Amino acid sequence: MNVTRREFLLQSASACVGYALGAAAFAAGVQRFSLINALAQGLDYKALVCVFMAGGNDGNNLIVPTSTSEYGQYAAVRTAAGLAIAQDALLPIVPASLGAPFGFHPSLAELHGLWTDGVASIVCNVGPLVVPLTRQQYLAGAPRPYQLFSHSDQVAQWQTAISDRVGQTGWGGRTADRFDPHASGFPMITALSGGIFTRGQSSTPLSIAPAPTALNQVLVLNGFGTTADEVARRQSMDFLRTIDTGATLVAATGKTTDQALDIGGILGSNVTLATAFPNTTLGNQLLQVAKVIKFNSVSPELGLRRQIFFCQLGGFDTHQNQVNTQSNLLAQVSKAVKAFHDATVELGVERQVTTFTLSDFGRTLQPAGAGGGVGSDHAWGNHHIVVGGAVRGGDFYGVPGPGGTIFPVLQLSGPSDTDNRGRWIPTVSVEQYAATLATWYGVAPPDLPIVFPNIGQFATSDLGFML
Amino acid sequence: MIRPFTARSIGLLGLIFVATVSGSPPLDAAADLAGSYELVALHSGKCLDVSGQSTDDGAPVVQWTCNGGLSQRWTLQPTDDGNVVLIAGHSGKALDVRGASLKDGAHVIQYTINGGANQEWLPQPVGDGYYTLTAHHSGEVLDVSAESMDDGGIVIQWPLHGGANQEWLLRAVVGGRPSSADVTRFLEQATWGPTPALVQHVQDVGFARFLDEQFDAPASSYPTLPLFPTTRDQTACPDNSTCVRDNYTMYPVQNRFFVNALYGDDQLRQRVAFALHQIVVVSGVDVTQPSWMSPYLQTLDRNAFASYRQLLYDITINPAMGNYLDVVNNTKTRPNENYAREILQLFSIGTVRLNPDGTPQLDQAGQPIPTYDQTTVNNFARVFTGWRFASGAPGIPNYIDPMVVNETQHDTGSKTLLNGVVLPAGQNTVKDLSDAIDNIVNDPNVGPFISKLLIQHLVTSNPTPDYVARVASVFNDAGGARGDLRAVVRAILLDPEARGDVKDDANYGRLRHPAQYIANVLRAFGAGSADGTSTSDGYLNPQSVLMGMDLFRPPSVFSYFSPGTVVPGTTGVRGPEFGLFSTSTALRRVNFVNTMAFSRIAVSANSPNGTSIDLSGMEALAGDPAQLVDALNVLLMHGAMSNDMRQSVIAAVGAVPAGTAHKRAQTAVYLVATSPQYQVER
Repeated sequence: MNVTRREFLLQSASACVGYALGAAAFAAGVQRFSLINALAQGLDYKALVCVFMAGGNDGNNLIVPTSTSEYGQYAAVRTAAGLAIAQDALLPIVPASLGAPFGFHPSLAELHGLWTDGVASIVCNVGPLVVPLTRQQYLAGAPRPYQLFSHSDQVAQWQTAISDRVGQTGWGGRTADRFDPHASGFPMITALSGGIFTRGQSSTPLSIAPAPTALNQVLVLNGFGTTADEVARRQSMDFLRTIDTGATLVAATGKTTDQALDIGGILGSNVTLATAFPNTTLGNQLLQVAKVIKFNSVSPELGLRRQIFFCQLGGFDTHQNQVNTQSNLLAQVSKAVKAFHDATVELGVERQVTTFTLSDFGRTLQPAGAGGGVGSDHAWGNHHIVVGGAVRGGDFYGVPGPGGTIFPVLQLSGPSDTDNRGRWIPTVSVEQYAATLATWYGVAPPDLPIVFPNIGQFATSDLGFML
Repeated sequence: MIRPFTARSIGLLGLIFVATVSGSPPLDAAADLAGSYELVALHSGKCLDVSGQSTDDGAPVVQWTCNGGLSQRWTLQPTDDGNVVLIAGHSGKALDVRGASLKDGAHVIQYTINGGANQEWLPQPVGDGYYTLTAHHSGEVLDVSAESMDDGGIVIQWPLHGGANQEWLLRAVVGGRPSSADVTRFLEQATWGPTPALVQHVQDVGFARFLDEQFDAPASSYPTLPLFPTTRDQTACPDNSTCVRDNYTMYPVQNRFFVNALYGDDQLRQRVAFALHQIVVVSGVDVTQPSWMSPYLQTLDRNAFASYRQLLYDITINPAMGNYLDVVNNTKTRPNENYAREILQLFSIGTVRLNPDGTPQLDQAGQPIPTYDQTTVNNFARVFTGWRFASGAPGIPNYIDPMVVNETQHDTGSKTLLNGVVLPAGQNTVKDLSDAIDNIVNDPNVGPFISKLLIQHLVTSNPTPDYVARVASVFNDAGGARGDLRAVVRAILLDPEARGDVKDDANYGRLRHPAQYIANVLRAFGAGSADGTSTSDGYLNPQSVLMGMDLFRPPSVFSYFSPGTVVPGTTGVRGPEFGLFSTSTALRRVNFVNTMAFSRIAVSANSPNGTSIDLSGMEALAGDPAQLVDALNVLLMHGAMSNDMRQSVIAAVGAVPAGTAHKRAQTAVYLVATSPQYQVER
């Protein structure tokens, strides 16, 4: 019993400096936010929704130039092996500022519709960079991101927007950090999938299961009914998290558990949407995102003005069987993103929610293998999709490269190539792409270097694709 | 034991010698020395012993070759005047000058403790852990007669003359009978969870002997499984079949992990091998057949207590690793950098120069110093060329045998590696590999880098630099060997920072990761099949997945979580396992305990036996809630449960009607096992 007595004395000493957990903090946060919410709900709300295409999506088949010579360049490399998309199969688009014709992958019918509606655009040739880079500079040994072409390292660099060293936080998390992300009891970031993107210095994400789990079932504590002994057990369980907090790791364990139970308690009802979502991996994640957005909008006691969401779809690492695999995956992305956009329209927040894609890397223009199993290998610069009512739609955005345009020169060993396989040296860095989104979200210009430590290496921090 | 001061006449000679000896104040020295020791004579290296292990009063005390026996284990008990009584471990009798003689050369014997000044000795340090021991009644010192070098050399008292036969190393004996609390903590560090039987056993044999048992225990390991075609035959092995489950998913090795953890004798080996798996990572995400993973897991098991050099070499030519990090078919025309980078960054030296205590070295500008650059990576990439799978059937690559050499693909140019070492041109695949592995393992970073990771996996997420330094120095040199994992693991577990009944440091401890949490709870309560009539089938990975850890399928070579993960809400307190701890996994952990405490894992298509725990032992105590909670305090919390926690759980147990002992037991187990206090191994 000597030991427990000593523990008791230690706790008494630390009780005065113990911290308020869970319900108390939430109530305080709620009071703080309800005022703001009364003024601003619906007016100053913004959400960023990240869709991570895990494995490295082949951007060369996402958008294909259809002017004669450019399509000819593309076909020269891809047709023989069976990786080229037939020109008449592409869904035609004309980016406003380029004035040249392109085409979407045939699976992107819904995205094509969003493009036509002016709520979707493409950001071209984005990738991690330490400094802006030409082919000559690259071959001469100029600084470049660590471990190019490696999945885990590139995933980390896209999600952390740090390429000269191993980043410990994600740019989603660091963006949230600028906004006092835990002032309310409900975190700013909701993760439907794991990833360092959501981890900030102080910001930690709420992670929940996707649909079809009902919103009021995502954080459920099992095994408690209303009998007297169950009530007593729950009371004890809750009490145990408030004591012995002198041990740092014990305190942190209790605190996250508290947060889970509090939020589980907040998510008291399952909201419904009229918009139909496809029953797919991404569809179910985005459905849950839409539900959380709706839940926030109908819960005055919550009233978050800013939210960040992270979703992920895997399978894009198409070293083989790219034609069918990518076709199916892009169809899933297209349908899910369309449904999600429709849901934001239903909720009246279509101009306040921006969805964007990230991926490990693009893929080699040069095919890997040939015939029915043809695929492509790891590359670098990639094209990404941005969707939302606040997006300047119907256009391509980027930084002009060696071809004089923002679109890479589709030539093996050409001026855009890292080597001889068609791995594009990015002309837009990840932080430029991300900073454009973060600026729209509300990160002030002086804070951009805090969120994006290397942004100063690049000429612009705003690519202009947001209204 | 406190003794009343007894006046004795002290020879004038003794007074002079006591007055002239230097060193720290004797009172403090004596109190600090409480504990059990071997007394090793400086001149001979032999131990103070009772002749023939006799338990008789008057049995002669001699020197004898140190052998760990109880008659060589002396417990020093301080008196209240700065002296100590030395009590023989086999007899409980005191080191005594026969007849309280004042004569030079009087024999030293053992005698029943009687409080006499001729049983009191003043230890005075002479440096390096050596002491003289001055008999209180006479002022003469403990001495091996005639500076004998022989076993059986007689021990006497003699005037102090500074000779080596009068100087004794007090070598702390780790053991004696360790406390149940320290043993419980030790087993949480060294196994997949303490059980009452194992606690008893380790108390009986002591830490050192238990470690030896564990080092010798044969590996439970994983069976070698039949290889299947890389391109699945959709007819023979259709979607969603058990054929797919058993041969194209990690299911068999995941189940085997838990069966080994629950029932295998080689607990420490399993624990260390799983730590090594999280350092030298291969993932089932890419290495997709269990028959491909199994040889990799066997390699970790085989080398868990071998040399780190051997481990790195064997892993490099393991085919699963060859696939995972692209060593297999790595060609000299386009050498792949993947393995070269990861073997340096993750498996050996890390990215920044370290001090021997694991802290980063800083340059003039206060910046960390990189350990290697792209050129180094390029050179190592060229080393790792010229390997292919051993021969196998068409479409069925050989993941069982180590990779074999393909000399024509080996880059035989000269390569500059770490620390200026240059491999000359013209060396073959194996020679280059062997030299490169030596080069890597000899880098001074490896000791602190690997030692710190192993400490984090076994004991605590935030070791003090001194702890890291102590273990790293064992890594660097254990009896002349470098990277002796057996010695390193022993050093980690026996270090004072690991041992003790309870730890007060705020940042001490580590969050139990999902597989450990599952195994700990199940082992504590004798897990068996769902109906309790046989054993669990180990089908527990789904629970682990829900908590964020899909066994043998970490998301990347960066493992299930990063060692650099910061505990949420702190600036810089490490908590690697918190990388898997989110709002949803926090509740999944609690809900897992709810399942085991109040229900079971039922028999199903994938679980022929199911899993349940046995609460009968707890039920037997449920009539008295305090007794029940105290038992759980001992079993799960090594006696460290706070009074507040104890009262709260007792009250909740008491709220369950007395007639339902089972429900009381369930309630108590639920509350303790889900508590943050238990979730953190401390």
